[in-house]
Amino acid sequence: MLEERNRQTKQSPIIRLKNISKKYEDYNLFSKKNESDTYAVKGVDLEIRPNETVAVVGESGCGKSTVAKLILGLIEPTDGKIFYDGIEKNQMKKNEKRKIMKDVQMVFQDPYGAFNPKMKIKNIIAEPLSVNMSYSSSEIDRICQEVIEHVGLKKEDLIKYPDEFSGGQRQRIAIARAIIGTPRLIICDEPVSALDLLVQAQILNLLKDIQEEKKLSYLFISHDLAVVKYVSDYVVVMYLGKIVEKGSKNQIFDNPKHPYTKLLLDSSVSVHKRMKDIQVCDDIDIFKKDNKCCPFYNRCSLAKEKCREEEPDLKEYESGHEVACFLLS
Amino acid sequence: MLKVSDLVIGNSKYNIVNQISFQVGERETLGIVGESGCGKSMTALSVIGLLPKGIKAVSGSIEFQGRELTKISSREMRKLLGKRIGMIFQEPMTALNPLLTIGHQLMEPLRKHRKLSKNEAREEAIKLLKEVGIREAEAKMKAFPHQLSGGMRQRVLIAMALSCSPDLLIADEPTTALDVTIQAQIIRLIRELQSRRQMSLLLISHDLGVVSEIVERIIVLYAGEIVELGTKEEILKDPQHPYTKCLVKAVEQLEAMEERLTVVKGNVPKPGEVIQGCKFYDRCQTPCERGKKESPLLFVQESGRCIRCWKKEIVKQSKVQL
Repeated sequence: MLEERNRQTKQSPIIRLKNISKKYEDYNLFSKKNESDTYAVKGVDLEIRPNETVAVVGESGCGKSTVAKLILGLIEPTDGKIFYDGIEKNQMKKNEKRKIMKDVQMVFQDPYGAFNPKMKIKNIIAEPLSVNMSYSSSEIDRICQEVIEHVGLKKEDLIKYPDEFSGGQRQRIAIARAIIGTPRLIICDEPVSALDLLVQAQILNLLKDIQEEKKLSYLFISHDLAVVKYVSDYVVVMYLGKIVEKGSKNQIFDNPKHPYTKLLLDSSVSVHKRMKDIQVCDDIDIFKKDNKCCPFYNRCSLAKEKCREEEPDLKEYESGHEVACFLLS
Repeated sequence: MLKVSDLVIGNSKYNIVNQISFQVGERETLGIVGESGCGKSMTALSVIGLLPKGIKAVSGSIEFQGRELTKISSREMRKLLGKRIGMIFQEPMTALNPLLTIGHQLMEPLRKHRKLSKNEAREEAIKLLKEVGIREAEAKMKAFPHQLSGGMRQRVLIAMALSCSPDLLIADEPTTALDVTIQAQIIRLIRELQSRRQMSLLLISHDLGVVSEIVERIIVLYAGEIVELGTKEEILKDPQHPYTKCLVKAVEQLEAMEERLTVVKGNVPKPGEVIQGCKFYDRCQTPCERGKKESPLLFVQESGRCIRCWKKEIVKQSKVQL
């Protein structure tokens, strides 16, 4: 398996997040600070190595998109460090940072909102080039043509406008825009969830082909477990801003250890397999939690006294497979 | 109970839904699946008379408990809606009024349709909230929609749809906007309520998995036409129409983790696109000569299963009532 080889050879990661937290402070109406802060993500450790796909799974509000924004540098972490190629981001000079940021590109969820409707496709996909590099306009033309054909569209499409394309085709354009600057990492935030089933397969294939050819990495954010199972090498499960379990794809899907991961897997619907009957407390507000207890405490059917008093940390369960749960030890 | 026959929905230029016929009997559950733009939501909206402006039922009939719904006045329709037919919409945030409390919105249909007094309505509303699995229902009556999570809002909507114990419940993508674990709960809730209240259910979804969890019979729509109709087992285990095969395969192959996904070329034809012959011809993996020119009919097998494909042609086609 690719991911095992990668992990064993210890290729140095492109990006490493070390104990990253993003905290939002709550103020009340009279600018008085509230006692509890809201953590969008808390203590996240993550590594993305060359040519591997890391998937982040979780429900809405678990902080998966915040992780993407932190990596892109769209928001600054309140705590922790981000390393690009082993160099800490805060110690880089401004132009170094820019150079690094060119290596990270993004594909968004909603292909209808990702483009300026008044720009031609050519200008949309060429934008990363004109911002980051000095190319002559004839060179830009040539690269655009190459890239647009690469993602399965035609040369003639370059002079069209976004509204002339269907959802699947727009997602291809988004991918074209992401790969044009030859990045090493593409962050895909729910890239197929707005697409129809049959079109999903086309886009997933395209992403796989591009990865094979260009040897780049993906950070794949999704809530769809079937898709994650298909694309990923390494899976990170998040819940309320914390990583509750991470491991290789097989470790997570065949041998889930955290109760939340199990709940997620049992909840997924499938065509031939009937959904398991699971009993969970369901109508509680999952975002309300005491700062101290395990984030999953009020939904966990196995919760013990200890889970309420302390917050579990990620512990290695077996090689490469880490779980944050007291019940395992 | 609900009988739709030869329904054509369209705007002034073209047809969106073409000649759809189906029936939902008492206590039956029927699912409609298809990709976006295939006309599944329009079919549901036409039943409750909420088609958007400029789009209307051009021909055909929708019969509900013996009454023709396409010709009914909006006043009578209003009486019927909420009382005999309940509807759950996709997006639970937009379907609730953000300025009114949950309690207010729940009591409204109870007072209008069932003519309950304010106190009776309140008690009934609390009972309903409890039935859909909301704890501390009394306190939640005073909450505004933004104070509830997505799953809770969907439960409130379900409670509203059920408030006048309708005979038919129409659910348009009831779980699409929800998270996986919440989706599982809502599926379970709908299934449970359907069997407890003995309602008929018309479920519309793009997700074969969700549909197969809830319903007994499935209709597959493609480009505004029924391409296949059969029981859940028939459709999922032994799909006959090439399009249904593609759909089922698309889910299966993801689960089976095949190295490379088999891809169906092309896109769904846009509404209004004029296509000669079979609408699936361009994307079909086993295209037939005849489909190039002639559009196939919906062939009805003896078991009641329908397939729109020349290869499944039944020569002695007797006019079977769908």
